[in-house]
Formats: sequence, C-alpha cells, structure tokens
Amino acid sequence: MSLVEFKNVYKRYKMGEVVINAVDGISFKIEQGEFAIVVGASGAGKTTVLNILGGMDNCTEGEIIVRGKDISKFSDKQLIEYRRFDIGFVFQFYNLVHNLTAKENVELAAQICKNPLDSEKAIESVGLLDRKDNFPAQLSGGEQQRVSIARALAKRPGLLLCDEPTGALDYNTGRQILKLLQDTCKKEKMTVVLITHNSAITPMADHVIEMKSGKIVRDIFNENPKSVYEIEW
Amino acid sequence: MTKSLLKNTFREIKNTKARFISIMAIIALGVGFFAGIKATVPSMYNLAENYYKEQNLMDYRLVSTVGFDEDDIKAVANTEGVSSVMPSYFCDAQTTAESGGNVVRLISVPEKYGDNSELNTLVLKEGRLPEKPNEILVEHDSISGTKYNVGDKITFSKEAGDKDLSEQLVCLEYTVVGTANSPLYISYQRGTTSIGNGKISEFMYVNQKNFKTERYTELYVKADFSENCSAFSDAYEENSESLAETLETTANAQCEVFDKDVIQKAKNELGDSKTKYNDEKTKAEKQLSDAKDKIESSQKEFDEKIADAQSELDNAKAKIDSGKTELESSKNEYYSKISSAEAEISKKETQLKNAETEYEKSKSDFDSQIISAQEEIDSGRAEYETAYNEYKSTQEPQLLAGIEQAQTAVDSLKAAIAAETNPDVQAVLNAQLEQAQQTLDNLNSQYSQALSKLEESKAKLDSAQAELDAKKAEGQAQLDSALAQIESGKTALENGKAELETQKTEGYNKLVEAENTLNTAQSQYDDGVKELEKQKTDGQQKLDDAQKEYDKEKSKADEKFAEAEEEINDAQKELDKLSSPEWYVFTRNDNPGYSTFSQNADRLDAVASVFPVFFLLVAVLVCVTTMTRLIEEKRTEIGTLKALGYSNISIITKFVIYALIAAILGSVIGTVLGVCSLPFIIYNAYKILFYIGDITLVLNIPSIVLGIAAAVLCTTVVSIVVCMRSLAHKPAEAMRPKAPKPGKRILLEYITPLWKRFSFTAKLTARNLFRYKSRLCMTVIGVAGCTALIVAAFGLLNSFDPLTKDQFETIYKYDAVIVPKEGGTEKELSYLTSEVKNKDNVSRFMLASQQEATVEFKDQIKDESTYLTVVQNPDELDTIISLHTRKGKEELTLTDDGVLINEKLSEEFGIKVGNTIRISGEFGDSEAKVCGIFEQYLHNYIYMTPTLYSSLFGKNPSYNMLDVKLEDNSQTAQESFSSEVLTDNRIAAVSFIATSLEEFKNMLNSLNLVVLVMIICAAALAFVVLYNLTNINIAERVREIATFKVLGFNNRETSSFIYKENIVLTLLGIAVGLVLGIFLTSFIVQTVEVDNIMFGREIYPTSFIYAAGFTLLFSLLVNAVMSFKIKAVNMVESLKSVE
Repeated sequence: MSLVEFKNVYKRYKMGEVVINAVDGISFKIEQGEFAIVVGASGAGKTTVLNILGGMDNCTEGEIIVRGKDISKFSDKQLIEYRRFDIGFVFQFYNLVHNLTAKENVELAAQICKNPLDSEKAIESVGLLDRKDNFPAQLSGGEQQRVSIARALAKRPGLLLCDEPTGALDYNTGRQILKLLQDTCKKEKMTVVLITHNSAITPMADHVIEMKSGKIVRDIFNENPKSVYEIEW
Repeated sequence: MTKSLLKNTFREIKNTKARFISIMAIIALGVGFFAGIKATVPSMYNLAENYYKEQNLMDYRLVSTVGFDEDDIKAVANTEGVSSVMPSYFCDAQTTAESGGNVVRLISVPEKYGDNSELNTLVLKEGRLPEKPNEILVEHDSISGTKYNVGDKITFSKEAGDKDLSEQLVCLEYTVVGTANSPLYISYQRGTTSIGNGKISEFMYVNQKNFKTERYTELYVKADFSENCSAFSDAYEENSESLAETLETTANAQCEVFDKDVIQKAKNELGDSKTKYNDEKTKAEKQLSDAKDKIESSQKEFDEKIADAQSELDNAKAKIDSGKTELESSKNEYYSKISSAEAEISKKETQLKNAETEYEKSKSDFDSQIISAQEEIDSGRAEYETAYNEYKSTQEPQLLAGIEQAQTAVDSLKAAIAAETNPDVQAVLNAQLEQAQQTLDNLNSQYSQALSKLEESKAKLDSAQAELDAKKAEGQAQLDSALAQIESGKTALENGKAELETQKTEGYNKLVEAENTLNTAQSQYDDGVKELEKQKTDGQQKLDDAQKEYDKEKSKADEKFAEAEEEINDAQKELDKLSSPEWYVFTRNDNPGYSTFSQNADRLDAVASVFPVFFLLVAVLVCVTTMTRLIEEKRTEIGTLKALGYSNISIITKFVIYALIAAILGSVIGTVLGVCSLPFIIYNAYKILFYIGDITLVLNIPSIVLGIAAAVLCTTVVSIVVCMRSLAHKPAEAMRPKAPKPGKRILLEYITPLWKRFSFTAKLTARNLFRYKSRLCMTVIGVAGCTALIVAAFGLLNSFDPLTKDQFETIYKYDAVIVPKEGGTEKELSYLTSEVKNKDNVSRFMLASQQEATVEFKDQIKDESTYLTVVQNPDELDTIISLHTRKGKEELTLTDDGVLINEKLSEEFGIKVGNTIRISGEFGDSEAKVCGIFEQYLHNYIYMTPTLYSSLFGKNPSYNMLDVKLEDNSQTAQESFSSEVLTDNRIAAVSFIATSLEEFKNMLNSLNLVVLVMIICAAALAFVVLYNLTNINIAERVREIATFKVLGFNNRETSSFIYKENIVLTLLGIAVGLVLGIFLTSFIVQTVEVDNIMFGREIYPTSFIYAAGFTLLFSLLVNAVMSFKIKAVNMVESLKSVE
C-alpha cells in the first residue's frame, strides 16, 4: 500500500459568484521513501495540494489516505495530532521563531513529539552545529532554511513536506539545500514531497508530478534519479 | 489628499475595527472622566448660586454687641453700595428634656423692612409660615436626629445659659406649623453658641413679634454688586471685601453715636450713684467701727479681771496641792514607822516565847536527869544493903567458921608437929600445916576482901549521892537565873508595847489634824472657782449681747450696701456692655455652609485634575502601540504610495485622520457619557451634606474643549511621530518587509541554572517581554491603573469603616450621654451621679466637660468642630472612652503634664507630640503641651485632666455631660433608661451612641455609588488596555502562531504562548498597581475628607485581594475572548506570503 494516496481530490474556493477549482480532481500515490517533486507554474494548485497533504487545509471533496487513514475526514484535533507526529514542514520563508536560537527552534518541534531526534544531532545533520546558539536574524537564508529542515527532521516525521525550499535562496545555497534533502531522503529513508516551480530540478526526484490549473498533467517516475550536483539550472 | 486615499482611510477603519474602538474607548474613558468631573464642579456652583439668588441670600450679616435701632438701620441702608437691609432677631434656646434638650437657634421669619426686599427667603417644604406667636417653623432636613412633624409641640426651657428666655421671647411653648430649609444653613453646620453644650443643633423660625427685645439683634444686608456677580466668583469676593470695609466705617460711626447718646449719660448717672453710695458707706462704717471698738475694750477689761482671779485661784490651788502632797508623805512615814515598831515588838515577843520554851525544856530535862540519877543511886544503895545483908547473914558466919576450923586445924597440926618428933611425920605435918595455914590465909583474905568490897560500894554510893546533890543544886541555880532573865525580858516588852501605843495615837492625831486643815482649804478654793465661773459667764453674756447687737447692725448695713453695690454693679455691667459697642460684619464666607460648599467643590476639582491625566497617559500609550502597529502593517503600502509619488504629508494625513476620527469620536462619546452621568452620581454623594435641591447640568465648555483637545492632540502627535519614522525610509526599503525584530539574549539567560529550567514558552515569554518594551509599559501602566483604581475604590470603602466601627465600638465605649440642664462641679452634679449609680443597668459612668474651643498653632487657627473635653476621672477614662494611637493601638494616659489631641487635628496643623498649642474659648485662653495623639474620626477633641484645666484657666471645669455605659444596651433597655432618667427635671437630654451610629451609616451608604463608578472605570480601563494589547500582540505574531500550529501545537498550547506574556504583564501590573493604589487611596481619601471627619487611613488586606482578583479576572476574560481569535488564525493564509 502506498504511503500517500490522493483519490479524486478537489479544492474549491468561492469568490462571490465564481467557483474556482484550485485543485481539480487529482489522484496520485506516493510510496514510502520516495523523493517526490510536485512541479508547476504559479497558481497551478501545487501549494494547495501540499497544504492539504500537511493537514493545514481541508479538501472540498475526495479522499486522502495517509498510512491507511483518510485525513480528509479528520477532525481539527486529529489534524493537530497528525501534524504533530506525522508531518515535517519546510517553508519557503523558513518561518523560524525569531526569538529562539537555532537549537531552540529545533527543540521547539522536538519537545512535542513522542520520539524525537536529538536536537543537537538534527542540527549537526544539517551542518550547523557551530551556529546552534545563533538567533535566526544572525543566520543567512540558507542557514535559516537548514535550521528549518533540522526542525522538521527532529520530529522524525513520516512525511517531509517542503514548499519551495529554495525559492528565497541563491543558486548555490539552493543546491546545497536540495542536496541535504536528497541525502536525508536516501539516508534516512524519509519520504519527501517537494514543491517547486522550477522543472529543472525534477531529474533529482524519484517521482515527478506536474500540475497545471489544478490538474495533474504528468505523473512520472525517474528510474535513475540524478544527484543534485549533476543538475544545472 | 485624494479621494481614493480617503476611501482607503475609511476602509482601514473598517478593517481594524477592534483597534479603532480601543483607541476610541480609552479616549472616551479619559475625556469622559475629565469632562464629567469638571462639569460637576460648575454644576454644583451653579446650583448653589441659583439657590442663593432665588432665596435672596444676604451678602452681609451684621451683629452688634448692643443690638441695632432704627437709626442704625437707616445708616446702614444709606451706606453706598447697600441695596437693602433686613433687620432680624435671633436668640439661642434649649428645648426642654421632653422636647429633646437640643440647642436651637431661634430666628425671626424674614420680613420686608419698609421698601427693602426680603432676604434669606425660606424654602417652605411643608405647612406654612408661623403667624401667631406660639407657632414655629422647624428645619426640614434636620441633622440633629430630632424630626418634628407639623402639629408637634416644642417647649423651650426657661433658662438659656445665664439668661432668662422668657425675657426675650413672648412664648416658650410652640406648635410646629411648617418645615422649611434656610439659605443660611445649607450644610450640616449650625454654628456655635454660649449656651448648653455650645453647639447649635438646629434652627427654627418664629414670628418677629415674638421677640421682646427692643433692639434688633442682627441686620442682613444685600449689596448692589451681588446682582451682577455670581456667588463664589472672584469678583464677588473682591466686591464683598471692599463693601465690608465701607460697612465697618458705618459701624464705627454708629458706635460713636451710641457711645455719645447712651453710654456717656449712663456713665454720669452711675458716677453720681457711686459717690452717694461711697459716702453713706463710709459713714455707716465709722459708726460700726466705734461700736466695735467699745465692745472690744470691754472685752479686754473683762478678760483681764478674769485672768487675775484665775491666777489667785491657781495659787491657792497650788498650795493645796503641795499640802496634799506633804500630808500624803507624812502619812506614809507614820504608817511605815508604826509598822516597823510593831514588827520589832512582835519579833521580841517571839524571842521571849522561844526563851521560855527553851527554859521549860531545859528544866524538865534537868529534873528528869536528877530523878534518874537519884533512882540509880537508890538502886545502888538497895543493892548494897542486899549484898551487905547477905554477907552478914551467910558469908560472914561461913567465913568465920572456916577461919576457926582452919585455925583449929593449924593449931592442932602445930601441936601435932610440936608433938611428933619423927622428922618424916614432922615434914608431912609441916606440909599439912602449911596447907592449912594457906587455907586459913585465903579465907582471911577472902573475908577482908569482901569486907573492903562492901566498904568500897558504900563509899561509892555516898560520893555519887554527894555529886548528885551538888549537881542538883547547881542546875537549880542555873534554871533560876534563866527564869529571872525571861521575866525581865517580859517586863521590857510590856513597856515597849505601851510606848508604841502612845506614839501611835499621838501620830494619828497629828495627821487627822493636818487633813482637816487641807480640806478646809480645798472647800474654800472650790468656792472661789465657782464664784469665778459665775462671774465669767455673766460678763461674757453681757459682752456677747453687745456683739450680737453689733453683728445685727453690721449685717443690716452690709445687706444694704450689697444691695446698693449690686445695683451699681448692674449698672456698671450694663454700661460695660455698652461701653464697648462693637459691630461685627460677617460676609458670606463666614457662613459655614457657604464656605464648606465651595471647599468641597474645590476638592472635587482637585480629584478631577488627577484621574483624567492618568487616563490620558494610558490613552497616549494605547494610541502609540496601535498606531505603530497600524503603520508597520501598512509599511508596504506607505512604500508603494511613496513610490507612486504621494507626498509624505498626504500619506501621513491618512493615519492622522484615522487617529483623529478615533479621538474625536471617543472624546464626544466620553464627554456625553461623562457629563450626563458623573455630576449626578457625585452630587448624589454630596447630597448628604447639602440640601439645596437637585443639581442641574452646567456644561464646563472650557474643560470639555481642553479634554477633547488634549486627547486629539496626543493621538495626532503620536500618529505623526510614528508615521514620520516610517516615512524616513526610502520607498524601496519601505516596500520590503521590515526585518523582524531580531531575537536577543536577555540578562536572565546568563543565569544558566535558572534559564535551563525554563520551558520553551517561558523562555519565549521572557524574551518577548523584553522585546516589546512599549507594550510592556502600556500593559503595566494600564493594569496597574486598573488595580490602583480598584484598590482606591475599596480603600475608600475601608476608610469609611472606622467611622462606624472603630469610632462607635472601639473608641466610644459608653452607650449614652446625659446632659444636665446646668453644668457644674462634681458636687453640684452629685444628684446626677448618685441617680445613675443606683440604676441596675448602668455599669460605668463619668462626668465630662465639653466646650467649643479654638486651637491655634503656628498662625493656624481652628475654631470649628473642635471641643475641649475635661474628664472627671482620667484614670478610669479608658473604660468610657479609649484614647489610643491609631498605629499600634497604644493606650494613651491622660496626665497633668499636657493635653491629648486627635489625629486629624494634628495632621491638619502638623502638630507633633511635644508641641505647644494655644487653646481658647469661653473658658479662657492658655497654652498647653501636646502629650499624645489619639485615634478619633469624628470632630476634633482636646482632652485634659481637671487638674490641668484648673491650673491653665484658673477655675474648676464645669461638667456638662455624663457618659454612661450600660450593662444592657438593647433598644428597649435604652428607651427605658432614657425615660427613667428624664423624669428628673434637672436633666436636659439623654442621647445614645447607637442613634448616631445609625445616622452615620445611612449617610455613608450613598457613597457606595461612587465606589461602583470607580470599579466600572477600572474594569473599562483594564479591558481596553488588555484587549488592545493582546489584539496587537496576536496581529504581530500571527506568523509565529501559524508556525506553532503547523508544527502541531494544539490551540491551548499556542494560546499559552500569548497568555503567559499577558499573565506575567498583568501580574507585574497588579504588583505596581497595589503600591500605586496605596498612594491613590490616600490622595482620594484626604481630598474627599471633610473638615471635621477623619476617614480611616487603613486599606484592608481584603481590598488588595479584591483589587488583584478583579484585575486578574478582567485579564482572564480578555484572554478568553482572545483565544477565539487565536483559534481563528489561518495557517495557510498567514504563512502564504511575507508580511
């Protein structure tokens, strides 16, 4: 059984008289340990898919089965539990708590989990051990994103969701982050779902889902995913 | 400013309703409070002014020591500036015990005088004005507790101080025909008097005709200026002062006239009568002294005579006494001699007797000896006779026969021998011869021996007989001589006895003779004494008669003179009274109600100036944080507008308009609410003090404008300043998101052990607290303000508490006060004490003297509601009234060293223990040291011992009340006690503490409303501040909140991040507020406090607990409301883009 399965999922927004289908009846599956990339232009509905998958948003119609449970039927409370124990999030703008140091940001996530990774180790795994006591404002964008990843990893989530993690970063830093994510996926056997508008990085994924106007236009598997450094964009 | 920008502004308001409303609310609160209280003061003034105008209150009240006549009135009326004059009468009287024993000021009902208008018009509440002499009008809002109804009877006692009331009034018994309020008495103060306890407790009006007095006692004057000047205004004060001076001049002139017309004449008359009196007195005195001299000289003579006689008698007596002594000693001597002689005689007698006995004894001994010796001799003779006879009869023949035989034998033998010539037979014959010879010899010797033996015995007997005879003769001789001696002794004794007898008789006779002589002398002396006594009595009688006569004459003369003198003195007194005719010009300021009213209004004004400042400060803070947030949120917009080419001014205008609308709306709402509610609520509390009708609102436009202007200005300036800061950035910079405030390590983190123990929320809270300092300030100030207000509200309630609890339960231990009609010394009031002592229900009592006093200390003078109290028995005072310090409750003892004063008085004047104050009054004028300051809430009291009183004022205190403590102080027991005591017509009144306490409680209840207003304000303040703060806090940290949510924190956990901060700030604010509350309470209490009442200074712990609890409750309520807002934060929206 797949780790994640979207079955005919819709997300509709009502703007006055007009109904917009942000997600328009999509179905796909993601397997355990996959590195999946959802790619598409702005407004293709990929962030909505990720939000729904992450339990931050509800779908209007359809089923989302995660580990055999339909999260679309979850109550708010169940969704909180789901986010707490199953999901790790990495945002485009990192969303670190400015008042906490790098390590404390990681601990913040770790403290509410059942079996968290040691915070120091998580920081170490993203290569920021020497900066662990710095506040976010004292870190560069790439470093902040790494803290953000460490925060997500510390929870040992079943699913790591990344929303344009490189969007605010320069090319090289972006590559480093992607490398970190790819390595994490391979080493930790972590399922990673990444959203990007940049189709150039799709070769590094095991599974590429391309969206356009709320619909899946392509759903392919790379037999031989490339290393990040083999890709140029 | 373009249309679109304006549209944008209104949209902004619509989108940020909560923020807009909070700015508006805080401004409404501040401005409303300010405008409301500020409106109260002029409304109060206006009320009083209108009242005075309607009732045509006088501007001056003139009182003279000699009263006024028509000429005086004319003179006053003609003084420039005077518009009308109304003469009037008043006198102070005391109602009888049945009518309550209150001191009443009786005033004549205002009446027009000629063309002059009526002044001080009464506000008739019930019934009608008195028309007949026995009708009376009483006060409507009585403060004394005696409430009369129309139809009630009031009787005044005839004595009013040292005056006779019936000389002043036509009637002493009245029927109440109506009730009214007088503009002269708008407050609880009624002034003082010289009768009763010195304190007027109510006023009453009677018809003018009811006064017997010839001259008017007071003049009410209305000035021209008072039409145009409003009461209490500065212009009024100035005019009032200047006209007062003019009136003084008139007064002096009139005094001179009086002096000339009345006084000089009286003086002359008095002089004449004085001279006459003195002449007569001298004459009479001379006569009397002559008589006295005569009496004295005869007395002297008489005394001398008596003394001579007495001395003679004394001499005689001395002689008699010495004779008596001598006689006594001779007697003693006589008796002792006799007794010694008698003793000797008896001794000799005994001796003789002994000698006789001895003689008898020796004689009998001697006789018996002789007899026994004779017997012995006789028996020896008989023995000899027997032996001789025997010898003669038997032995001698035998012997002789033997001898003859032997001789024959011998001779035969001799012849044989001679016969015989044979030798041998010869030899044997010889031997036989020899033997026979020997036998013959033996027998011969035996014979001769026996013979000699007999011869010897015979000789012996004969010598013995001879010896005995000699002895007998000698013994007889001896005995005879002894007998002779005894005989002579006996004779001598007899002689002695006879002699003694003679001597005895002789001596006795002598003694009797001496005694007789003495007795005669004694009786002579006694006669002399009797004689003298008689002479003495007679002489004295005569003298006494003379003295009596003299005394009679003298007392007659004295009486006459005393009468004359009294007449002269009366005349002198009368003259003295007249001789310093003085007019007193009193202005409205001297009317206690008038000045109290303005003082109270001014105090209120002071409060009005403090609160709004505080609210305004909070308003500014709220405005700062809100506007800052608003502008920061609109940072990009500002950048964009700038980039589009809008000028800074038009951009600022948007925010200024936002603030302005909030400020103006808030001000208007606040003003309307404040002005429409506060004056009425506050005046409602003041109504317990003043009865001049209900308040009508008078808008205090300047204050309203000031309040609104302040609010508008503050908010506008704040928004401009905040905007300018934002506009300083270049457009590009402004369009970029503002770098979030960097996290910073706080000091606390360096205390690693502590910091390590902190949870994340705690760490976050700690850092956040210090991150947003303005928010910290605002919350702390807002919450502190809320807490302080509540503390003050409850503190104010607490401060009323001691007035009832401590004053009437702890300090006043007595239950009732009995007021005698006339004060006096302990002895004079003994009827009272003994009567009370006999009552079963009375446990303790003490006499006290209470008099109005004026206190001076360092140029400060207090002459209102201050009493000098002297207690009869200072050692037992603590059982009646407990004088102790407020702090520490240390019992103070009243000593002769100085006085004890109450705390309010000491506070007002800054008097400390050890200071010296000047006390004056009807009783005199002196200085005393302050020895202690005691807890007291009602009126001002000075306590001193009777000893100190008399040493200070040179007289004993006149006790005028008796404090009584009852065993059973139930209502019924009190009533029966009262009615029992009042049966004695020397007692004027009985009043009970319980009644006063009840009145007081009622009075204070109306203040509860004020407290409620304060608590509502506090709540409003807390809500506005906390709501606004939390609202902004959430808005600012919506991303953070969303992040927490995404990370899987549940709502409770997420909220707690915000709440912890709020709670910490609230707690901090509460702590500050509790401290602030203490100061605020003390400020309000001291400002609100009226002159003769001290409010409690203690805030109970419960008040702090309430304040903290309420504030916490408000804060939790705000948090509860906010939790919905946190719940509603949308993760997707919030995290979608950069701010």
